[in-house]
Amino acid sequence: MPSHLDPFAAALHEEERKRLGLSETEIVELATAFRRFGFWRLDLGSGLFFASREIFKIFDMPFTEGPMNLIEVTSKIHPEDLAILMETFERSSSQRLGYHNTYRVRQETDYKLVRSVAKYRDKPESDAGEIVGITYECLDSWQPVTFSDD
Amino acid sequence: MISVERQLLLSAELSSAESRVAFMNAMSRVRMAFGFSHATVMKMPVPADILIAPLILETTLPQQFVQEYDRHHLLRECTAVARLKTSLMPQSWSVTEALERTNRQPSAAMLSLSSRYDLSMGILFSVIGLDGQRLVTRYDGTRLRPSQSEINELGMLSVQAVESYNELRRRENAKGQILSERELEVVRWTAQGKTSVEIGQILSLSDHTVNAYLNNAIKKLDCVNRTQLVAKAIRLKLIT
Repeated sequence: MPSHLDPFAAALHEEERKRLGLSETEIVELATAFRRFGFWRLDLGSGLFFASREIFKIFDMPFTEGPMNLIEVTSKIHPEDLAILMETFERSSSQRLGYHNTYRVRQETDYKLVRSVAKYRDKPESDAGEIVGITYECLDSWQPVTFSDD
Repeated sequence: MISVERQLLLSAELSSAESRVAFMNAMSRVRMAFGFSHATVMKMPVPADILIAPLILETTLPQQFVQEYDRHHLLRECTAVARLKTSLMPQSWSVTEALERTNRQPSAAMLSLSSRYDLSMGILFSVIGLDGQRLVTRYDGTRLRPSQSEINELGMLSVQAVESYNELRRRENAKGQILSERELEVVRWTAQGKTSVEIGQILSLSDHTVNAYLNNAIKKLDCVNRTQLVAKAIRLKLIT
């Protein structure tokens, strides 16, 4: 069973963001700089899964503009982790829950550890609502020092 | 009756149950043999769960008891359930033990409920089924704490109970709830990221017909939306 935590407990509040003088875009840029992050949205009514380019990279799939192919995504997940991950989807979509889940995704010769954190939100034009989430690789290749041009 | 003989008889009764009614009759024999008032098979709670009713799969507990238990959010107060989350070992609870272990008086609602329904203790067993799902069997009543040999016996019977219960569920799914070829096809296309209109174009059907197939599949698999349907179909390996 997936464990529970409040993944958004440490979210930067508006007041604090202003005090630090950081824009929302900068916060996202900074947070995503230290490992591979991807964002996604799951439309509960249609069952369609929309993902950013990084999600495609995490699952080693060619990027497509439209909804992601969940059959292909799930074929990359370790068989021992798939049932619990799907059960998490089932519960979060039927009970409108947020969740976090850590699972193994196949890479060339072995598996890498990936974590997804998600939250439910209402969708004005649909009764079903949607789940939005972030997925990242838990262990990235370690680079002691790198510089950016920006 | 000596315990080995009792275990064999009860185990045989659980494994031969052909229906949920027969299964619960067998569970009732188990609870009676050990002096408990009620037997329950339930899903393992996760920390987000605050209600017990949605977790119960089968029980002999009165509905009013469950409703009242949930009205007061007593699942949060159950220390045995909390311990099950970090251990696979059987966990017992009792009104007096709660006070001794935690040095905290059970809430008035808990005391009142356990007194009115004559349930002052119980024992919970966590069993992982072949499908990887963790289920809990629990026996509640008013008796002394079970001896170690009784716990061993109940533990084996709980494994048998979960195996029999899961087998019943598998047979039910195979009988009446399996999806038709067309339903499987539209679910598979949905999982592959296609809208109803696109599926209609691929299969030469109207989107209205595609929606009807999807709604049928949602009902058959006891789901509430397409996302749950897709996830369940993948988990049950109906689509690959």
